[in-house]
Amino acid sequence: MAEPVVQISELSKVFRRDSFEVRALDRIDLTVEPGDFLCLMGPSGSGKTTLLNIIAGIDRPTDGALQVLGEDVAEMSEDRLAAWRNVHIGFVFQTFNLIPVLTAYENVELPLLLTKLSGEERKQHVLAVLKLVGLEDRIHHYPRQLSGGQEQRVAIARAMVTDPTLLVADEPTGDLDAHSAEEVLEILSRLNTEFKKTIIMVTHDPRAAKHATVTRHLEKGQLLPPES
Amino acid sequence: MWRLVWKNLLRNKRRSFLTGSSVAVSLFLLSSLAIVYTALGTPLQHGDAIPIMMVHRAAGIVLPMTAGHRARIAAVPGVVATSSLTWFGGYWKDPSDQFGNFAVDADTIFDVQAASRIAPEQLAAFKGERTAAVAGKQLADKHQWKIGDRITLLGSMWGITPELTLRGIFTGGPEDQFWFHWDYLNEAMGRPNIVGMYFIRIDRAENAARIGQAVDKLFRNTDTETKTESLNAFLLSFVSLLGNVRLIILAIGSAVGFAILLIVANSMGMSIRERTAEAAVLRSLGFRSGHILRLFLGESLLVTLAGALLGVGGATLLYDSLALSQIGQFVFADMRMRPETLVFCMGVSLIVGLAAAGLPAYRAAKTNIAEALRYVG
Repeated sequence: MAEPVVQISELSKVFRRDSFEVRALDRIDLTVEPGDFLCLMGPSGSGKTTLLNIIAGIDRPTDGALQVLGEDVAEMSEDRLAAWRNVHIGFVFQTFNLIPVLTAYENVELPLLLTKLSGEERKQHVLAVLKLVGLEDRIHHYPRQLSGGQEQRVAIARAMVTDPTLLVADEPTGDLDAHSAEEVLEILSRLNTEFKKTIIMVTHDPRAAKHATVTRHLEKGQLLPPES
Repeated sequence: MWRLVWKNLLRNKRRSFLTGSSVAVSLFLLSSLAIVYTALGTPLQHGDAIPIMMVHRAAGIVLPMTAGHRARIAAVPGVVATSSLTWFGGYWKDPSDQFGNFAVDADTIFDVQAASRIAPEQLAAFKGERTAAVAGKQLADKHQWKIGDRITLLGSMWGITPELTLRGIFTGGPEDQFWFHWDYLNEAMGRPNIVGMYFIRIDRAENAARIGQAVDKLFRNTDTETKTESLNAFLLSFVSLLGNVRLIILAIGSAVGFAILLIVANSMGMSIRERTAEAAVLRSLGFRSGHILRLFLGESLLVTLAGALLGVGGATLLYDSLALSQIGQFVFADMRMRPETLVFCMGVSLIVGLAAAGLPAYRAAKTNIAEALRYVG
């Protein structure tokens, strides 16, 4: 059996602000297998984004064990972690987070600027993923010239352009109308089924959860047992 | 990466333009101050290949000397030629148009100021006529004087208005000066027989110390003790009278430099803070802290260096093309952009560019990514 993509054991995260202490995650145990499309659900403040950030290596746990793609992410230096994210992780944010002064093409190309690919090779990769999300005719458009749904598709293309193993999406449909949300979810489903990408998605939206293969609920920092 | 720097710079064109313009104006001011500061500290050496010394009153260069001292000075071994020079301080037509005008010993002035060349017939005409005068070419060109022009010097502290005829134009040496007969001045003042100072030309520059001591020894323990020094040392001592001016320029220059820093720091601080989340997004894509630092510092450097090129370049063009030495007289005669001044001003802009963006860029590069995303989100 293949090694799990994510293996978490007894993981906790505590935020400290002045004299206050907030336990955002409390002794989480979680395993994500290759090819899973995991949906993390829960009310605001339940700790789902915090868990996603820790898995993706943009935040660190306070306690517990964390293995992502066989690496002890929590122990990596900042620079090594950055390089690791570039290769292995694709991010999709709720608010798209495209760079407004760059075109769709340039936004998607950004992660590839850190690789040793030539300009022509980068171009092939960028055009391929933009075609995958159906935006090959929008490559020279700036984010302000795109609809919300199109922006999110550019963001998915940017997340996919380095061909990462794990795609993490934080409320990817949160800022979209129903139609655009469905388009985005279809793309994520396709990435999971056709391209065998492991996806972890945080959402409030029960409709979004229907696209996932596994759904887990968080509440007050604790991961609830899987629904049978 | 540079494309991203450039595009970010053009993101808010008005802010970048205003910041760059502020830097340009400030660097123009700083360059001007640096040029004046340097010019004050580096007097022009007229004919520096020819060893010339000045003999003036030890108690101060503004105090007069006795005209009869010349023969005694001329007798000192090593002295090749001696002439007197008396500051007149008049103006021609426009009081704001100041230039160096001196009453000189017409028979010997060109022997001492050997770097200045004049046509023999013009020199003869100058020597032969008591109301004759000669002007340096730079000065004559500036006022469009021609041989034969009548020139009246006004407004001198001596209380007389010499009416002179231009009989010669010399080239080389102090071309911004105007000379007329000391005899004329002396007679018009009722023959007080005083001069401002003596110029002596010596045989070899390395004998300057010995000759200076010998001259000063002649007048030791008299009412008119002298101080004999090289022309360069004299000009430096003259400039030292302006010591406080240099201090003021230094203070203003420092204030201008600090003002640029505040302007750029404010602008870059705002610009970087607004993009804290963007920096976090880039880092989530794999950009390292070093990349983010370079990105923001690059932007800041581009703005400040563009402004500096405009400001310093403008100052260079202005001071090098306007021949400002004509209005500055000899202590300001070298008012031009020197390589070291250029390097200094560009260095200031470089430091400002780095210092202004340093702290906000460091924060953006080091803030926890998850926190930075929440900062905007």
